[in-house]
Amino acid sequence: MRALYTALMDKLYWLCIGVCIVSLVVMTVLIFASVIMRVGFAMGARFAEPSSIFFAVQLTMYGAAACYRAHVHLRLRVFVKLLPALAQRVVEIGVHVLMGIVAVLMIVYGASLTHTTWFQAYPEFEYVRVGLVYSAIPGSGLVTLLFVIEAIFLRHTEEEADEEMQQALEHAEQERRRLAGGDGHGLA
Amino acid sequence: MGGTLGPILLLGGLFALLVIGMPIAYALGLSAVATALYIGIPLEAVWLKVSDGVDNFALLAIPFFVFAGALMAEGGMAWRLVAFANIFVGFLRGGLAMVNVLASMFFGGISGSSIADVSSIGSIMIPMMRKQGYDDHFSVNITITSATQGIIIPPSHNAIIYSYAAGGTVSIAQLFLAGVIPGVMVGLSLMVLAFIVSYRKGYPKGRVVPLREALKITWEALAGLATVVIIVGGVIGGFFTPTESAAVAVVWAFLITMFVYRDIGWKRLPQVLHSVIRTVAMVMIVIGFASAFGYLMTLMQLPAKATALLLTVSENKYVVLVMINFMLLVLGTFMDMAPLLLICTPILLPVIHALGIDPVHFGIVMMLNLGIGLVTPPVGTTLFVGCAIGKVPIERASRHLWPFWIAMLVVLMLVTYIPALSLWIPSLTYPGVKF
Repeated sequence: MRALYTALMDKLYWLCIGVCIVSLVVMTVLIFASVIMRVGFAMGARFAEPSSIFFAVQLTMYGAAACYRAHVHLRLRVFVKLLPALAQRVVEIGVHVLMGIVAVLMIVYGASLTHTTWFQAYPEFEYVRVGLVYSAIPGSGLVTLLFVIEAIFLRHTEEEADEEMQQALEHAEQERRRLAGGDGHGLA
Repeated sequence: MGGTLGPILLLGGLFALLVIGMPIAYALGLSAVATALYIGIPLEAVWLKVSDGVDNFALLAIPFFVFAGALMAEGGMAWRLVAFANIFVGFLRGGLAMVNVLASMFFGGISGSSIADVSSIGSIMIPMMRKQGYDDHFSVNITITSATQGIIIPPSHNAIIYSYAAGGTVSIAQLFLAGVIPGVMVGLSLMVLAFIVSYRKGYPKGRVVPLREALKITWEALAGLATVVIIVGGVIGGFFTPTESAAVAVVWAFLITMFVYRDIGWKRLPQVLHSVIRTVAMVMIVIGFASAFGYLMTLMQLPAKATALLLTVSENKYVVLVMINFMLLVLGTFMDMAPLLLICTPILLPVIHALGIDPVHFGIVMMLNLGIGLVTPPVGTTLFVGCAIGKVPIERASRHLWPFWIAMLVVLMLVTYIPALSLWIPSLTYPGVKF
């Protein structure tokens, strides 16, 4: 059960990253296309700005949920590290519980916001609902809540974070070797 | 609105949540939600503000800058810039240290991020410097401090965050231009320091690069350096908005790295994108939640109260600037730059306006100040990354950091008290800018 849930969360994490990558690439293409249309063909591209904003909200919300699972959010750990190991674990679980509360609030009030704005349309796209943009709030809240459950009940988060840091350092070392092995133009 | 308890709940709640290690973005959000509940604001309004925070076309420049910087960093731009910098200063005493600073100056212009700078330039320069007999702590310290140039040398995504936090009232183009001289000053001060230390410790000289080789290196580096021209030139020249210029820079960086340099294979592209997404989402969510936090601060008139409080201490702008600098230096040692820019700018900007200080000038002071915090323990992100790459204990690097701090603090004081250093270049293009 534990392995299954973790595997599902892995898939969910990569789904979030996939949504974000697609959003980033589409935003880039849309804005680049709008520049080309304006500069090259003297045509305005009304679709670029609202579409890009829609994708930016998706990227931010689902990306933030993924960042939570990957332990890469900006945070202060300096004070917690002063505590004994057991107290650190207790505080960490407390933080996950608070994250769970935020996630629940995102689901409840984000859904309410989505519902309220569902029947409003964009001036540029009359068939696209404003609520669709806000739906990323309850959506990412739900994903975060699933990750919180995993963090509290299934994972040793500190150890995993350290392991991920170790992997990142190993990657940096490999990268250093790769770059240092290249043509240094007589520097080394 | 909110009485006395409202501000305590908002600021005290944030402080408590930060101390227990809650992610900064969500700490901002939870304290805003608790305060909204207390003062009776519908919680939908808070989430609306979170979404509206990132629902801003100008802010889209941030993901694009990060994306372009990552493509360049992974795509072989870093070592080409190192080789390019080597042409100019490599032959001097302590040449590699100066190459490090100059390469960071060039690379900072492209990536706009000190972390990207340390990761890319540091992974090449630190091992190379150690191999040539430089002390390991010196190699790390010169790398991390020179990376702070990237924060203010244009294009800087921190300038966009500052402009956004100032309610869009501060021109991004002017901030870009204002960062040039202070950024170069940081670089020059570090080069002078590197020369003095190298002379005293007998660090080696490099060789003079022959003309033919220098021309080849310059040709290869130019394609990458053109990214800066696209972004800064496009914005200043009025061809693009900052967001459009950043998107064009991504396409340019992609074409250069994938089809010209070809140091990065298609298989590595998903890894680069993965890393970009994590960086972008982490910054953008802070912006979103800081927007809700700022909304509550405004409702409770906290910026106005902070202004009144600071002006009761002194109405002399130099005294107030000393106090603000000191406060930011302390805060910067504990927190990262983006959240501090987002939290402190709306509070401090009314004070700055009341004292007649130019907000563009103040933006540069603030970014430089918080940049020093990034290399200062206990929470110096750039310091941590540099130490990890150089495999030097943080305590050891920190013990030898003081000459670098002094050099940067001298520049900070000069930039703070001589507004012309920031405002002279913008005044050439924008006649409205006075100093």
